[in-house]
Amino acid sequence: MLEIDNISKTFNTGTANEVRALVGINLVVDKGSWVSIIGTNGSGKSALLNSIAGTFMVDSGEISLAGQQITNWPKHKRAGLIGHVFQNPFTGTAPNMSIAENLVLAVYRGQKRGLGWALKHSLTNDFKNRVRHLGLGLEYRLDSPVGTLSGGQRQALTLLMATWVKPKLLLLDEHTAALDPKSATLIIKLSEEIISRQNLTVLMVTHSMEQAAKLGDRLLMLHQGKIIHDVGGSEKKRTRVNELLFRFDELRGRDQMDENTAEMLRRNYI
Amino acid sequence: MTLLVGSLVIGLILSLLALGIFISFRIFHFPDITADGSFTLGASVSAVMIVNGVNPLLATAIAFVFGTIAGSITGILNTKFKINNLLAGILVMTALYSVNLRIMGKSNIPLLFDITLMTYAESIGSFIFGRLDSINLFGWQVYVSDFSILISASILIGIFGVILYVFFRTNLGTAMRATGDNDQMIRALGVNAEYMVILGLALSNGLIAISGALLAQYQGFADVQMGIGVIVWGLASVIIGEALVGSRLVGMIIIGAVMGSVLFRLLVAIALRMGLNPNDLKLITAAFVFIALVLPGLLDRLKNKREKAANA
Repeated sequence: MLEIDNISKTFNTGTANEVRALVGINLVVDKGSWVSIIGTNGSGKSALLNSIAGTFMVDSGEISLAGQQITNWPKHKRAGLIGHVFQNPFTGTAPNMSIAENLVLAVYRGQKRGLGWALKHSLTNDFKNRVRHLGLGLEYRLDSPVGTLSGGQRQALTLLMATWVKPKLLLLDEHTAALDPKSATLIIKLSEEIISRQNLTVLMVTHSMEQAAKLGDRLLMLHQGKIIHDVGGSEKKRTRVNELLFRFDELRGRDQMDENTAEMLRRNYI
Repeated sequence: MTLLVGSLVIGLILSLLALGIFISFRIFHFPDITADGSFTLGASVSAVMIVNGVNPLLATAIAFVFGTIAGSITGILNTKFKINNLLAGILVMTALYSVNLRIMGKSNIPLLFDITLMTYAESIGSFIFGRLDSINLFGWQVYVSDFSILISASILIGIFGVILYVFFRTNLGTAMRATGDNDQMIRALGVNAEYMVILGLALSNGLIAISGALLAQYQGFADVQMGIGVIVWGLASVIIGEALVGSRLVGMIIIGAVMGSVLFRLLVAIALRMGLNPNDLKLITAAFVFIALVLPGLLDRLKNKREKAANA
């Protein structure tokens, strides 16, 4: 379904702020698979998602999705294949437009938008039904501006919009990180429901070890722009939160040692 | 009375300018100074064609096309060449000054003895009212020619308003509004946001060019200076309109922009009548827009302070 062949990306090349965000990543994701991705800050986990979504173009390597070479496609063209839910609940919806108008925008994801009347009556029933499934009572507020909703409600709406037309690939980018615990639990529940009902292929970046251990059938750990850990199948099922935390500590220890060594060398030789 | 009718007609004509500014400034948050150039562009293109015997309706339509071209260039400079939105507008506006002089061949073209849309409106009026020179309207004597121009202008602006409203409720128009509201979101839903900006600015400047073309035909001349500062007139109208309707629904905002433009012209007429020096008009308008932009924020802050004080 998704094939990533040796992609790399460096930001601010040749300056003091040079960041090697992705370093030769290879990844093949099967259809219907749900991959959780974890990593420290700056490990490249969000960069990986953004490179697939087309937020930036990679320096080298190739990406193909559903049999199509999308490496050079601009973001809006890739959006025809990809549903994207962001960390910030404000990113996924248009605040000054009504819930119904936001949904209409999602109905035509990836299609050419013509001069047909947007809020057709035939759509309104559909909206009510599928919004009711969220269980938030939003079906009575279809004409309210989205800006009047809470963060959790907006994220639920974004999730619904990203999957309104079944995407070939769903990207979840720390989509519960900015929510309160109760809303986060709700969004995770809704994500599980929608993903299993539509049998979606998912890449989920998460900050929560618990989500990473519990959700999905495969787990990637990224560090310094590389995949350093990749488990699936029964091994993934056996993965526990403690084990992940241990691995993080290990990484942190290694980083610190590097810094200490550098400091010692500096002191002794400069 | 003639003064009142005159300012109503100019208000209606300039409401197309206000609608254009509404699209660029309110929908896309794009302070598009191209307006100053495309307003004159519409006037100069239509004036030259009318003087050369082209049908004024066709001349006005072609003014629209020229306006859309000017707007698209600003849009392309901004999106494809990544030039800051203010600067992109300034570049096109500056270039248009020369273009307008080239088109007109001189700095002013009089239209007093040519057949314009106003001639059409007047002949419709004399067809309906026969040989009457003036009619009695609620106790006022109004010239038939003035009255028929006023009615024609109202109908024309009404038609434009409805077309714009319908457009903004279509799938394309909805996507355009969403681009201004949240462009990250609209990209993620598969819309080419850059194309939307270019299309929106084209539409905006097309309307502004029509506004310029109509004003030239109404006042009987096109002048290369006539566009200077019109963006501020448009802004003032939009802001007054928003205050009048107090709603964010597209239809209400469109009605508001038209009402705002007419009210703004009336205020200007009254101020001039009361002895305001016409040379000070632009200064006063700029000050008005400044206050209108700053006041809501100031009031909010004041309110917050008071609430805090009340809670403490």
